[in-house]
Amino acid sequence: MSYARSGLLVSLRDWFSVPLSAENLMEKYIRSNDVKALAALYDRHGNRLYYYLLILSNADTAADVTQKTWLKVMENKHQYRANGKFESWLFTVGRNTLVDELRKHNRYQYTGDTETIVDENIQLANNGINDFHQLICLLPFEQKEAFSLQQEGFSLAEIAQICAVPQETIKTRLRYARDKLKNALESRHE
Amino acid sequence: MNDTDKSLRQAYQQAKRQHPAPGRLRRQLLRSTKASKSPFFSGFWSRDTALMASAALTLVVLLGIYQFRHQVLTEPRALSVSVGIEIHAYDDEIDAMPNSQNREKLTAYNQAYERKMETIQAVNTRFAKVLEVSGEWSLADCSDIRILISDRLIENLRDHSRIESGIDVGDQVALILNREGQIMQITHSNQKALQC
Repeated sequence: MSYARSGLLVSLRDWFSVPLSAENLMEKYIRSNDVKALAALYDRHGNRLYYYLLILSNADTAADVTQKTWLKVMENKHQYRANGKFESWLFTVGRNTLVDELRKHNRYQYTGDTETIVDENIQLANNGINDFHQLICLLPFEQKEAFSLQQEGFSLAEIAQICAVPQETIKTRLRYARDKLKNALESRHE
Repeated sequence: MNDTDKSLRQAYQQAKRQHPAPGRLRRQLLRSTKASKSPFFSGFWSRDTALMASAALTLVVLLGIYQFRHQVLTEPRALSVSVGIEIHAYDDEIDAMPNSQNREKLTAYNQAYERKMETIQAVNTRFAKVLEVSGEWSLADCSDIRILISDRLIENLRDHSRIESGIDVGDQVALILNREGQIMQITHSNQKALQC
C-alpha cells in the first residue's frame, strides 16, 4: 500500500478517532515526522523493548541500547516496510544493536553452532531466588530471549525471524526456558 | 494456555511492571526528534501540505506553459519569406537556340541598332560628286574640297550596307556626316546636278 493511500486511511481514522495501530503510527511518523506519532509508538513499545533488553543485559546497557534503537528507528525510518509488523522490526533493530554492543565489550561469543552470552548457568530451582525477574535473567541468553519475546506476544515465526534461527530451535529454547522457570516457581511455592 | 503458562505470563508481566524504562529515555528521544525535525516541515507545514503545495505549483507552471504554447500556436505569425526571383524564359530560349543562329540574329540586331544610332547621330548631309583619282574614289563638293575615300572605307561601308549600290564615278551622291564630320552613309543624291 502506498504512503498516499495509507495516509488517506490514517486521516480517515483520525477523523473518526479510531486508535491507530503501531504500523499506522509509524507511517504517520514517516510521512510527517510527527513527534506525537513517535511518542505514541514509544509509549506503546518503549517499556516492552527496554524490559526485553534488560533481561538480556543489565540496566545501563538496556537503557543505552534502548535509546540507540529508537534513534535508529528515527534515522532509518524509510527502511521500514509498511507491510511488516512494526514491533518485529523494532525488536530486530533492538536485538542487533544489543548484540553489537555486547560484542564491543566482549560479552558475546560463539559456542559451537549457537551464539551464547557468557554468564552463569545456574540451576534456577536450587538457588533460593524468589524474584521472577532474577530467575529469568539466570536463564541462558537464547532461552530467556525466546521466552521474553514469546511473553511479548510474538509468534514462533516472528521470534525465529528476530533471532535469525529456525523455528524448531526456538521451540526447543522455549521448552527449556519454560521447564526451568516452571520448576523454579514450583519450588518457590513449596 | 494451561495454568503454568498463565502463571508464567502473569509473573513476567508483573516483573516488567516492576522494571519500567527510565523516564529520561522518553524525554531524550523526544528532544532528539525535535532537534532533527526539518524547520520547513514544522508547524502547519506538514509533509502532506508541502506535497500538495508542490503539486499545485507544478499545475500552475504546466497551465502557464500550456497557455503560452496555445497563444503562440493560435496567433497569426508575421512571416518573412525570402523569395529568390530567378531570371527565366530568356535563358531557356537562348539555350534552346542553336549557337550559330543565335549569333547571326545577334549580329543582325546589333547592325540594325548601330545603323539606327548612326542615323540618329548623323547631323549633317552634304552633296558631292564621285571622282576617280589615281584609281581611288574621290568626292568633290562645291567648296572644291576633295575627299579621298580609301578602298577600306568603301568596303567597310558596304559591309554595313551604308553605301547604296550602283554608285559609280561621276554620280552625284549625298554624304551623311555625323557630329565629328565622319561619313556615315553614301546614297544617290536626288538632285540631278550639284548646284554650286
